[in-house]
Amino acid sequence: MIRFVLKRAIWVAPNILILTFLLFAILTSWLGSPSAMMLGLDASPAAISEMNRAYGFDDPIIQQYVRWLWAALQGDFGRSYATKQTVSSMIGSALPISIELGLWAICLSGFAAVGLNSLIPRGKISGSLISAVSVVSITIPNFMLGATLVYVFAIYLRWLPTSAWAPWSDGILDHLLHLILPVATLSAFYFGSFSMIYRAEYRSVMNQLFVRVARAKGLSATRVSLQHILPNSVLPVITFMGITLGQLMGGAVVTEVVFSLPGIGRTFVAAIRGNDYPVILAIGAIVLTGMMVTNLIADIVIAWINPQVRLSS
Amino acid sequence: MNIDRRHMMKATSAFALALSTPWSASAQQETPRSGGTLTVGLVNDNTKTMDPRLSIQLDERQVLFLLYDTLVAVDRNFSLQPDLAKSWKIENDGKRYVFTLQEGVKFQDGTPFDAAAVKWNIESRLDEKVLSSQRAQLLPVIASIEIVSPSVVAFNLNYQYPSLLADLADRAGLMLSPTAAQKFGQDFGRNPVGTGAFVLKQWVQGTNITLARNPDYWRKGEPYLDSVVFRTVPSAVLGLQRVGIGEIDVMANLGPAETKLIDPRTTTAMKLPIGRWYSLQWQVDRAPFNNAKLRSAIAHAIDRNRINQILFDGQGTIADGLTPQGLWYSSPFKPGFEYSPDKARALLKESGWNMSDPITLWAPSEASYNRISQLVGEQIQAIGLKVNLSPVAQSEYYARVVQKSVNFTPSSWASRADPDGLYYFLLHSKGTGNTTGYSNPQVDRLLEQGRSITDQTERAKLYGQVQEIVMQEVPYICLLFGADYVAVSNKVRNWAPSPDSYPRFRRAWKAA
Repeated sequence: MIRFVLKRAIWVAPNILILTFLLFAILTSWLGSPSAMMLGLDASPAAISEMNRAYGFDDPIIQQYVRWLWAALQGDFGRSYATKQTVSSMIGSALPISIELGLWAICLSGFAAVGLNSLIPRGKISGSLISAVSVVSITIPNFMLGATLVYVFAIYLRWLPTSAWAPWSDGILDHLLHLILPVATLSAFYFGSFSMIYRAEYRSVMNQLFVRVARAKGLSATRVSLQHILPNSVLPVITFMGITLGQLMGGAVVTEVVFSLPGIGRTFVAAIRGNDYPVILAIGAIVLTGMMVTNLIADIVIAWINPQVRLSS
Repeated sequence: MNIDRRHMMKATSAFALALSTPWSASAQQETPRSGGTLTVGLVNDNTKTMDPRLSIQLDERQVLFLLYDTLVAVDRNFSLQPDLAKSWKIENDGKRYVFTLQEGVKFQDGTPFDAAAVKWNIESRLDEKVLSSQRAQLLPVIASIEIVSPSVVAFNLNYQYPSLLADLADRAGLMLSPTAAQKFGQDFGRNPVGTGAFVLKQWVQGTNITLARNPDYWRKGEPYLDSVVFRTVPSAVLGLQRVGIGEIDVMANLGPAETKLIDPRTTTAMKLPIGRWYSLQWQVDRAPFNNAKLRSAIAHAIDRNRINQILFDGQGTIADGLTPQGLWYSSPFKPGFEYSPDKARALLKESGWNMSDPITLWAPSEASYNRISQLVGEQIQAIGLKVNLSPVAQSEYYARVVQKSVNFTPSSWASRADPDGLYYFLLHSKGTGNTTGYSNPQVDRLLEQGRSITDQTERAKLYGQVQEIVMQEVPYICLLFGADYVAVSNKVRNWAPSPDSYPRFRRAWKAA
């Protein structure tokens, strides 16, 4: 098992290096000079070359990349051109919010999708209901669902706050109350996709020989479902959860905007709109790294659940 | 049926408007109540810095005018009032402004506000390294800042520039603490220190900006509110829902359509005293629009009332000039280009324009510009012209107007407290905002004369003459002044929007 983990981990580092280099090259030279992007369309060539010199954009790309990487490894991503804050402090305050939101949503929707689909017998009305809910929740646009939930629960019934982020320091209850609607909105989408993936796999495992044997032994339907089918059909869901969590390092843009959450997605979009290249670069690199690492974790979890994977490698 | 519904909706919004009068009258009888929190909704908050020297975004100004005071203030009819400057004298033929400052004013960090602080504030904006957004505007004008005494400061100018006072009522006049600016350096934008009625307490970017009452504010007894909170909302519609349940007290930047969502039992829609000036512009120094008859023909083909109905629900004001009525410098509108397709066709014939040549009309992507382009395109097609609508991204649009690669297009400007601000900028042959190539020696002379005298009635006459010439020569087709609204909870007292659209809540209070 340790061998397996090490083998996978060794491959992650070079991948991150190559991908962040590509990102760096695209942003700093292939799409035009960052000075021209930041100074805007009517910038004079003199102003652009002055800025190029001041920020070292004239140096060879490898040298620039190494300089950026070295600083980034020490946690220094430079300063935002728009807000003049350090990029690391901007990310430091926004990332935990997106990660908390993402973890809640993924865990909740993952457990709900796997649990409901395993426990509710298919063919019954309740089974069809789950399929219907999955399809609806995946097709309703997030902004519409979010706005509808706000209207029903915050404006009409007035049970919950409409928006905003309450930090833990405001009290646990307040914190959780503010989280309910955004987490519900985000979970709805993931519930749909997790549920569909799980059902497809579940159906293919359901009729395999070992399952029929378990049934023939006289085990209860619940036990067959949870002990025999579930472990064998949950793997694709876990892989997908890993990828999803990685993606969510880039923030859940729509949910963050609808609920005015100061997460990383909102920061990312503002940076792209304002050509704020140090911020785009830093968040891009974090998303890449996050995807790689969560993928690795998902692989490890799968190997732990499924001996075939860890033995065959 | 359709018409009936539209009428009914108009009636409801008119009712909402009517409500604004009784409460402002009753507000004068009530005694102000201290305390409470006023919540303001900001749509898609773009705030990036609270350093007035660097500020570009309009959203930032909503907050800046509470944290800082300006040297000069504007009134509801755009007349200039004292603020941090108690009084001023204009000397040396309009090339020297001497300000007497309020005494005993302290910044929020306890350091004194005096002539040296004013000098530092202006010089810092002129400093190349600061990259101030006001540098381009001040640099050609300011020759030197002179400390006459601790409470008297003089601005020496390179030339006559009557807009100086208006500029000092805007971003360039917001005074920040030199000590704090040097202490925080690049982080000042997050740690603002001014002399204003409120101090920054908490700023969670993208969620809320919380300001608290400045207990040592130099105007004794003000402000009444304990705090002002700016909350980010994803859209005006969702913001108005929150106004309805009392979560938000003030939502600005609403169009007439959005005011229909307002429930008059809880909320009042207040119209901004002055709307943006919308126009069409073209390059008059080159073909095809150097043909004056063609320009007049197009101007007569445009039905401005229809544009007003469609864009602003009829609540805008038709413009027969650059600046709205009712300001100290506005002269009465002379009837401009009446809508007359017949006249337009006759002028078109006289112009000798080849009807098979297409005219390119640009359509910037912002919603109101885009609709104006579509409507104008439709209307000039009706007199037999061939029109190509050519889309351009809003972010590129103005840069391309300046480069002259966008020719015939809608444009819009906000009115300024001094007429020189817009007239000289757009119409003088050397004006920095002259993108039409318009050059008329008589207009140049009148505008220069407008800079050289200080008597307001005399100046108003000069700008009136310019307005008449512009209406004849059509470097711009004046369309209309827009209608902007602010939704205000009925609990908010003693507050009304100002013409520059920056809220100043220091005298506002909230009923229990």
